Amino acid sequence: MAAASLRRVLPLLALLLLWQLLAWWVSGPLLPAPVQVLGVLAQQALSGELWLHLGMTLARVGVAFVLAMLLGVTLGVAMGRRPRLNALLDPLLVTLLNVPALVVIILLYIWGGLNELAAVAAVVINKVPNVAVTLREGARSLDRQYQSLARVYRLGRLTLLRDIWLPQLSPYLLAASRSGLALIWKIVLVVELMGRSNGVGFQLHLGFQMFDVALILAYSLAFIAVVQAIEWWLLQPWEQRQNRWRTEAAL
Amino acid sequence: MIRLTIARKLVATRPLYRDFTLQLEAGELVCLLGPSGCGKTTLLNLVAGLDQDFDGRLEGLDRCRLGYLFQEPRLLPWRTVAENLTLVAPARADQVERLLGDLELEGCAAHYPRQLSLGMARRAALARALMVEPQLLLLDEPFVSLDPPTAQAMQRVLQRVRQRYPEMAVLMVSHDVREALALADRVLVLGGAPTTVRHQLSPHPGACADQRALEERQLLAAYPLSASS
Repeated sequence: MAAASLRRVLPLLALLLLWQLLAWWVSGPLLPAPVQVLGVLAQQALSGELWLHLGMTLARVGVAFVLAMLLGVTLGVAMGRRPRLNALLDPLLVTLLNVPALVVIILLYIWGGLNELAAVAAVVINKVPNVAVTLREGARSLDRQYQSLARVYRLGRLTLLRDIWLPQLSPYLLAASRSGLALIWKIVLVVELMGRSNGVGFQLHLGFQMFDVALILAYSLAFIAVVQAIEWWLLQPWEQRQNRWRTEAAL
Repeated sequence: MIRLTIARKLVATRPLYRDFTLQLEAGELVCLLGPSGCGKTTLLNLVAGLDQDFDGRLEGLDRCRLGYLFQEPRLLPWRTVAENLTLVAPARADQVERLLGDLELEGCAAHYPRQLSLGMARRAALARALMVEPQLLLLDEPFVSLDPPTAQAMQRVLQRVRQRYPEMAVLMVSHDVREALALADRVLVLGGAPTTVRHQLSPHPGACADQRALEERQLLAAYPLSASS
């Protein structure tokens, strides 16, 4: 167990070492050393700034993530199950998939004003097509044999969803969650940078204007740590639970 | 009594069945024999309500009390054996354990289907079918691709199950004439296009070897070599 967690941390430590070496070599404000960045981070945490901005960003990410997953999963599963609906919506989906995130953000800010609704909506619109495409594949791979099993034994809709569809869709849900989280928090930062007065993205903007690389790195690190924590303590345990039948059966 | 009447059943514009009737008494085991493609599994799917694309009707069956053992066990691989059973009908752990014991599956409740052999998985699927206390049990080649001892264990289990549920009718598809004679109350040999009953025989219970051999010859004589011969 200890070896496993060491393996997990080792690449990150190597990266840190590389950074330290580069900082020595550059030795200037353009690349502060890890210790300096940690200092800025501690100072931001003590003043309460860090928690405010991190909290705002996390809240936006959370709301956008839940909405994008709900809409994307519903759309994707419906399209995967109904070829006619798919034929109708597929060109639209491909178009949306290829609209630059920035365009959606700018347009929504122009049309809706620089407010929270426009910010979250921009993120959701950017993410829904990705989720839908992934879940469409999942819905297409649903095994018809289990469908007929459900019909013979008159299983209810809820049982069908929870016990027959969900286990089959879980790898796709997990993939969509992972790539979703990664994409959403990056887009949230852009949205914040362009039109909000708080959040990690806003702080990065501040750092950019003042050429404060330490501040930029401090906030980036803080958010990467949060996403890593979500991966380790939420997504991976969920994945292991979903895969228990595969691993146990392999013994 | 359960009766399936088919006025017409088409498969890709070809009439598979026309004016066909199948009748089952409570407690009776009817075995369908016939070449591949003559529509044995189709018949099971019509009775199960999985295939509703036909002209005709089904009488006397409460579909909530229907058990179907598909050709492959079709257990949910992400649920344990016990969870597969309670999926179709709620039951206490001791009830599940007792049923598994009856089917020679002691100690398998917590296993995942992939940990079972084919014979065990078939019996687990049979246990699941029995969870609904079926009025009619459909068996699609329940002994195929099992080694002889495993097939015999499965046949023994089936006979015990029939004793425990004396009112349960069983409709079984088979390719094996001996197996049909050993288990069935009535054997129907299907064939032709559209498919009809070519021959019907009620095996004499506890027949001596000579009698069995005679019955076997009768069935084989009626057994067409292909679906349309």
